Amino acid sequence: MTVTNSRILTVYPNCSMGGMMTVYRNRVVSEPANHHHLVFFKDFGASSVYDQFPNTRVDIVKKERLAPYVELAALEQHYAEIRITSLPELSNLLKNRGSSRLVYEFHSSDETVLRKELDVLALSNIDEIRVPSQYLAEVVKSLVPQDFAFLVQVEKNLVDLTVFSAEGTTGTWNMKSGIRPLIWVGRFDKGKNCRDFVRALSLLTPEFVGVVVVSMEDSPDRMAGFLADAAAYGVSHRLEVMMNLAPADVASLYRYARDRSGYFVSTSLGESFGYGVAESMATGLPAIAYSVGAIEERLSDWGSLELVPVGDIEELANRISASPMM
Amino acid sequence: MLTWSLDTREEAAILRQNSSAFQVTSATPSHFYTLANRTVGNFLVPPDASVIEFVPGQKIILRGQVEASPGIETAWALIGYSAEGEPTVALETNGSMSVELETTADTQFVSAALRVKGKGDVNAREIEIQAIDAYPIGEISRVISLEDCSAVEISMLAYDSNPLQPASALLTFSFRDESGAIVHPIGSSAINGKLGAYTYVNLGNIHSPAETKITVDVPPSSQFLHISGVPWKHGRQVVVLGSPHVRKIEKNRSELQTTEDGIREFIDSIPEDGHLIVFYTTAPPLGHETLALRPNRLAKEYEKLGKWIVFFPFSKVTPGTESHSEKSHQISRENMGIFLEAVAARTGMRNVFICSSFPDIQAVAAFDYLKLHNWQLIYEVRDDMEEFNRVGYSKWFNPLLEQRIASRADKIITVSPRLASKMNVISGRKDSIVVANGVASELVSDAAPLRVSKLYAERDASTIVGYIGHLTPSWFDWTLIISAAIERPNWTFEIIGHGMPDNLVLPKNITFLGPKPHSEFVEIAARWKVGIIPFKASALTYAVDPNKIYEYLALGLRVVTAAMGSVALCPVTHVYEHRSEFVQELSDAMQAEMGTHDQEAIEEFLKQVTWDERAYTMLSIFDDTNKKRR
Repeated sequence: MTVTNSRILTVYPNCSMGGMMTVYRNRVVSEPANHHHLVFFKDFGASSVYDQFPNTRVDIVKKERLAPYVELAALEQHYAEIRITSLPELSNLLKNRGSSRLVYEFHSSDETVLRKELDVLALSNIDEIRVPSQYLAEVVKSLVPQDFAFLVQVEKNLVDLTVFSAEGTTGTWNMKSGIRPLIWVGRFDKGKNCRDFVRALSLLTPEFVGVVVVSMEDSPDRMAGFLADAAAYGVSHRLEVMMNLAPADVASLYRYARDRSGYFVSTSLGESFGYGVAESMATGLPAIAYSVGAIEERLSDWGSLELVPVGDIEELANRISASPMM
Repeated sequence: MLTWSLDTREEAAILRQNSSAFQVTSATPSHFYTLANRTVGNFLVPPDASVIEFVPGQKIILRGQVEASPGIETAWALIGYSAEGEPTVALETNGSMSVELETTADTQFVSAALRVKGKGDVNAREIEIQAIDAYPIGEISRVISLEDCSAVEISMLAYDSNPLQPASALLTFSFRDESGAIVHPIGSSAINGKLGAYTYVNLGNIHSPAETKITVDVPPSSQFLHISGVPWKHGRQVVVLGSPHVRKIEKNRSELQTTEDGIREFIDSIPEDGHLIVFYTTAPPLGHETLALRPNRLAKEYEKLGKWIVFFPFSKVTPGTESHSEKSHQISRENMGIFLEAVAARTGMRNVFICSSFPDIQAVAAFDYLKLHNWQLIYEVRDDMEEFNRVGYSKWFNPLLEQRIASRADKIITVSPRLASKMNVISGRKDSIVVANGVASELVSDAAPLRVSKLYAERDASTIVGYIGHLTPSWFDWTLIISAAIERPNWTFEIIGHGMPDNLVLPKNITFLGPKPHSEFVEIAARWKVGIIPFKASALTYAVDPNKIYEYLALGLRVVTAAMGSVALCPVTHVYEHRSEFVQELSDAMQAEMGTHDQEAIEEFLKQVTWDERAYTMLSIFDDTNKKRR
């Protein structure tokens, strides 16, 4: 259900530069007629991302005050929708919400996470379960009682086309001539599977250089694990690590890679949407990805996407290697 | 202004008085009145004027401390008179220190008095009569304009009029925007799902009303605040005195400007050919002279030399202190992404990023990002962070991250030969440079009067050995000092600092002076003959280049120190490699005289080791890298 000219309250635990920031930021940009009130309880310093948007308000509320806060907001403000992610207990507490629709959102492709939340979630208290892809809709429908399957609706995530477009600057990135950048975006966790990217890089000729863009990383050990992998596969000198880049910077990096015959590479083992793939394609940077989760649905987006059977590192490297230098 | 008189002149007298106090002596067992601003003791007769100006309907409160001889009874009284002269009396017996009178639309005058009964003396003081609005809590309804306010402080007095049935009440806060629409409160306030932001009202009793004071954060875009009183449990009996006092707390510059805007504005203010130096460091924020470490000192010197400074301290930057000066800006580490985006258009080696002993994951990423923008990257190594990590500090450290930083830096600059050697091994290179620590030129000049022949001669006779610094047994060798003190009872050891273990038994000739401010340290050290640095041998201490050796020398002290840093290059310094050599080296130092040659050596050395000299050296290294890369 599309909401326009309305107030929308969104609640999520982390105010961070993670994937949900991308989801929220793009909604704010794409729905200028809506007023977005974003409420978090863990402050990881990302509220400034929203500073520039007059149609947005960000609040950090103590976790124990979330329920009365949201109830009061619903009574006073008449939100068209209250959207909650990763907080099933809060959803259950919101009995007095006036005419506001209560939407529970899933964005994780991890079934363990989905089951854990669904075990707590009182489905009878919500008006809709919203997911960003057909793939995730099918997964969630398989996990809820059939009587509640009707609640599950797909609303595709939005890409900020004002930032991720083919037109625009390629920034001041400075690589030696002949270098072909391969961009990988994610975290150093097992699901995003950066190790396969490093392995694929090791199979490629030296003109290919990896640029790993991470966010929400604060573990020195995980970064050290990545660096150890890079050293073990002999590609330390062909890997650049970026962290918490602003969307405009990421977009300029994509365009820079596009102009140097690079690729966006996804070695993720599960995707509920595939934001990185969608955004890189929007800038004209071709993407190549393991075919998992909702990635296949990105084939219908504007741009170039090649799918590789998940785990086939050689095939991934061969496809990249075979692509011509423009 | 109150003038006091008695309704009897024969058996009582006022001994002394002023407007807010009086002393009365009584020789009669009967009662009489001490009257305020009237002389007629018959209260059926209205006064010529009211004891206080008031608006009919206000509450009159008289408060006054009374001390009386044993057996004397006192009671404050207020008498209200209608236009027809009809009196209404409020009298508080039982030694109460206050009395209240409710006025009505008909009340025209008010009189005040103290009733006294019995023989002896009465002292009344701190007498105060007020006419105030007093009304039920539910009548509070006030709207405040909030332009450019970050918070509002509200205070008020209230009491529970029926202590036998304890009541409670709330103040609620409702924010509105320019159009009058409700703005939701910030989550820092207590919130009720129906009433919104609120606080409980503190309640005293009628004689001692309690103050409620609360600071309410103002949400962005709100223009008005509506404060309401809400009776809660038996709340109708809650009485508020006077109008709530409201103080607006104005937004500071950082609140009027977003973090992003502040960073962008500063970066945009730097000319394209300006020399920008960025510190990413474990040091504290700029502006705390006593806490300043090498990065703080050098940032100050670079700025004096016309450079632009961005400083990422270890701790969060307090809002309002981001703009340290026109040419230096502090940024919290969490805003590194905003900073990188803001400097993305700046390329070239005149932009220098110094990772100063802080090779964490963010530094690794910033290095790579800025390398791709052709910046100059410096790894400055002030301590052996791996050793700190080993003893439980610096949790952010990982040797692979340091290896990455060391191998990617354009230059590695360390404070000691030991660190330079280690960095060469880690990075697989051989060009790590040592630029030792230094001393503030202010200390060198301030302590110059101590470094003259006459005072050197006086201190040659001194038997005092001194130390200033951290006293943790992790590196301060207490056992060594205690055994030396026992072996040489004629020497006195004066120890300044903090972190000393609790269980030490010190011989009489070790005096622990506790922590001292720098000015006092200079005064105390003027009596010392030798300054010591008795650190335990460890990878951590070998790596250190102790700042205190430069301070000791600035104060004209001979030094005895464990081998570490660049101490071997310092004049009048006795270095011991092994603990067994300490007493002998100290003995040599205590016997040595500070001859002309030594004095000249100190002066020559001090000229080369001030922070401004160190800054020149560092800048020449940056320039050299710049030229080579070009």
